[in-house]
Amino acid sequence: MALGDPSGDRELVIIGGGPAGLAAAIEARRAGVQTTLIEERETLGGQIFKQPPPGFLVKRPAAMGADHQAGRRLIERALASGTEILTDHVVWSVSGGLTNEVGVYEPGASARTLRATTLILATGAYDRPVPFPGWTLPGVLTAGGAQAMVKVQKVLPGRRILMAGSGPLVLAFAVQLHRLGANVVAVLEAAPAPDIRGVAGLLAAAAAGNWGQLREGIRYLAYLRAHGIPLLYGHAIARAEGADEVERAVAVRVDRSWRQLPATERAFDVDTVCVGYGFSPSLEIPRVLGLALGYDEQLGGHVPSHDRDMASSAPGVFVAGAVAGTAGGAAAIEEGRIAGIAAARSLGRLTAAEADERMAAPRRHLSSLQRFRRALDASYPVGAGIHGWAAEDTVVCRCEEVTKGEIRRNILPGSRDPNSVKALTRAGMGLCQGRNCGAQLAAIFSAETGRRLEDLPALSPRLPVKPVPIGLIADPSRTVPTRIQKPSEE
Amino acid sequence: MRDGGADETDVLIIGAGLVGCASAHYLAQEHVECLVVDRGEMNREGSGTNAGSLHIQLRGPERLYSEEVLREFLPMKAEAARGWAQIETELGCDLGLKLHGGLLIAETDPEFAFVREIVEYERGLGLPAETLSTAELLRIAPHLSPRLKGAAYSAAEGSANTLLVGPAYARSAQRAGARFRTHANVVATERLNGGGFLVTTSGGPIRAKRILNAAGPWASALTRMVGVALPITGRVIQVSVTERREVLLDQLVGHISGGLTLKQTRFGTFMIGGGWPAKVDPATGRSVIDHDSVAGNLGVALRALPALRDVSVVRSWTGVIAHSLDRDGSRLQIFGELPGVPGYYVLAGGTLFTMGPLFARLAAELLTAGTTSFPVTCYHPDRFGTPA
Repeated sequence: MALGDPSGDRELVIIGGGPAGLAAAIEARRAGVQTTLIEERETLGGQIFKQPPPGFLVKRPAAMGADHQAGRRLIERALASGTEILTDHVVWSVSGGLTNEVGVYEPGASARTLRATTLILATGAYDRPVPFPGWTLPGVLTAGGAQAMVKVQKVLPGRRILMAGSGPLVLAFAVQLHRLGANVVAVLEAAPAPDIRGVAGLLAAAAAGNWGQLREGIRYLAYLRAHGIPLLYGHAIARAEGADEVERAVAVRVDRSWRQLPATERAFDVDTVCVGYGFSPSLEIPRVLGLALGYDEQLGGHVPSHDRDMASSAPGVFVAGAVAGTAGGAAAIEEGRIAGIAAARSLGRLTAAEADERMAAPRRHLSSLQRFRRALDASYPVGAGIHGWAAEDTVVCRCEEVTKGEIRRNILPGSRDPNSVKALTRAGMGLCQGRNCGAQLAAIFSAETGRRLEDLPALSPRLPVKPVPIGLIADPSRTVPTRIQKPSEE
Repeated sequence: MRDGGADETDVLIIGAGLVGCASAHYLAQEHVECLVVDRGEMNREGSGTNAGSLHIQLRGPERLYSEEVLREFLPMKAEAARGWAQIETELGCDLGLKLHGGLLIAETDPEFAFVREIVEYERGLGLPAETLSTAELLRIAPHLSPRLKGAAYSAAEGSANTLLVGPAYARSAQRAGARFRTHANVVATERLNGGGFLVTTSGGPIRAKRILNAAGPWASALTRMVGVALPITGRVIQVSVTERREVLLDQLVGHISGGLTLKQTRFGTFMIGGGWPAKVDPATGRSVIDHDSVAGNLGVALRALPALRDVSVVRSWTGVIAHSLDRDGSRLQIFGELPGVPGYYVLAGGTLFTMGPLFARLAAELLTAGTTSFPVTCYHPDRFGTPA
């Protein structure tokens, strides 16, 4: 369903087809905005409402769980909204200015550039990469990666599993895995056991309309206890060991700021370690657009700054969902709705009064969700010690195989910028372009130079946003704007 | 630093790019006290962002050089090539050097006729080069397109890793006693009675007997502080690099009509440049990648090496390249003592990746012995006239 000229201008381009992007599209279309939504995967729904790939026939949707069904409904509404939806389209470039340009390609097919008056970035987040000795061994998975296996393909990631992480998602996932028949050997929670203040905070937040969430958390705790799965508070993963794959994992006690305490190790015979220490926003596009960023360890580090209408620092560019540091599908949906309404207002499709009226309900719901989130964050504060779990010989940059020691040795005296280490070591120069090592590189740089993490410039944003095959974007018909200079023309 | 007073040095080098770092190295070898300052990080601008091509054949504006200039320039080209062949031994480290020859390809008959003309012209000047037919070209570079008409070949060309060369010189210079101070922006330069300079930087004042301005496109902003403007400017270009692949290309590949430098690095990545212009965001002044330039640049690369079709670009960046604005368009480097400002030397201009190490060596000679082992009169800043 193409709206308008396929090569031409759009009022709104939404990047990302997860809950935030879908909700934004529904609201924008409701206001009559000409809208295009771009999703990299073949299916909509994002990580939370992850749908099976095409070819997987779902006969009994109820068996796929509540998330799947909620996602299905949202997707159906977006599909019916009149939004032009481009799945299996990869954004490789963006540029801002008077009009925003978005370069997309369809793998194996073709590339084109879309121009958009407004942009909503709903690009999501990825599991916070946490380097520790052995983290590159087969058998070490991120919780998100393991969850995708379980949710979509119903495949267990291993036989004997150690869960290591922080926050309620780790509990939820341990329970989910156990229910599917996995042997969860133990759950390591880096935060200390909740004290009375934490519990009181959670209760107060729950009283504000979030009883369901609290009840769910309590149910998970009860489940673990009933099935004899030890939950070790104040413990973190120290290392994974094994010849070619994980054979053993070692846990260690950590203090309140997640610094490892000596002589407190404890080994587990496992074939799988699932690691879930929260998320990091996908910042490639916000960085290339030069959006102002804030720093919040709890939200995974740098996060695009935004106002209550989800407007970023760049005119006409909005952010919503996990890329804005938001946790959970429900909050992402409300932020997406607000961003979609705000974009419609900035396009003149809604008056300020109409927009306010439409934003009222999502704002109320969002503020209640945020209250619970803040209480949770207070119970599970991310400790700065997490940046110090790698050993000297731990590979930090997996693409270019650069160790922590090599990074430390290449910090030039007087340097204020981790980019200079990147240049000397190639850390962050591989296929993932620093997604996995950027934060750790900055943390090592910070520890060595004494400069605060939040003051360090991030690795320079570079196009393409995602690797792009030359054949798709090359234009062999152009010539460089210079002329031939012949000796005979002197 | 003396308490309360200015830091002192014999030679203050402004700019910690390749030229500044290499000059510090050669000066420190001669036990000359030097301090290198930079407004930002080391090796960050053109020195670290250019594509790392080592050009020995005459390129673009160099073909406009007069006979007089060429008499000085050509022996230096040959010496620069000799220098690159030894640089990893000299500095005792891996600089990603790859010296397997360079090609200037032709796609059309008129371009190939021009290749022949260029090669003949260069051979007449004593610069070794040869013309390769399509068959000869494919014998040494079998993955290049069979549609190419041929190429000019120079055995001395190749490439090096721009990210490593400047810092390697800096480390060596530091070992020999040179000092470096980054994030020290020069804001004022005052000539002192009785000689020498007092230089005010954001990192504190510095008293220097002599100054070597190695600030690339910003050189003129600095010489203006002592009353001399130089016609030197910057141009923002962009470079792209791909994922790693098996070895498909040994040589540096350029295009006789411009618009391409292509090489496969020792890491297996392809580095693609050729002077395609970047954009400048009028709002922020930041240089940003120009999509059309990327598409055009990759297009020329694809025409040269069709196997690039399925290779992914992982990173494009912009960089500022300096060049002088000689009235005849020749863009010659600027090297020498500033007219009317004794003790103030300038070394800046274009193609100072290939030629930088040699020029830096000559700068050290000039500052220690007062003479250079190669005649360098054609580069002197007095060619722009002396200030009133």
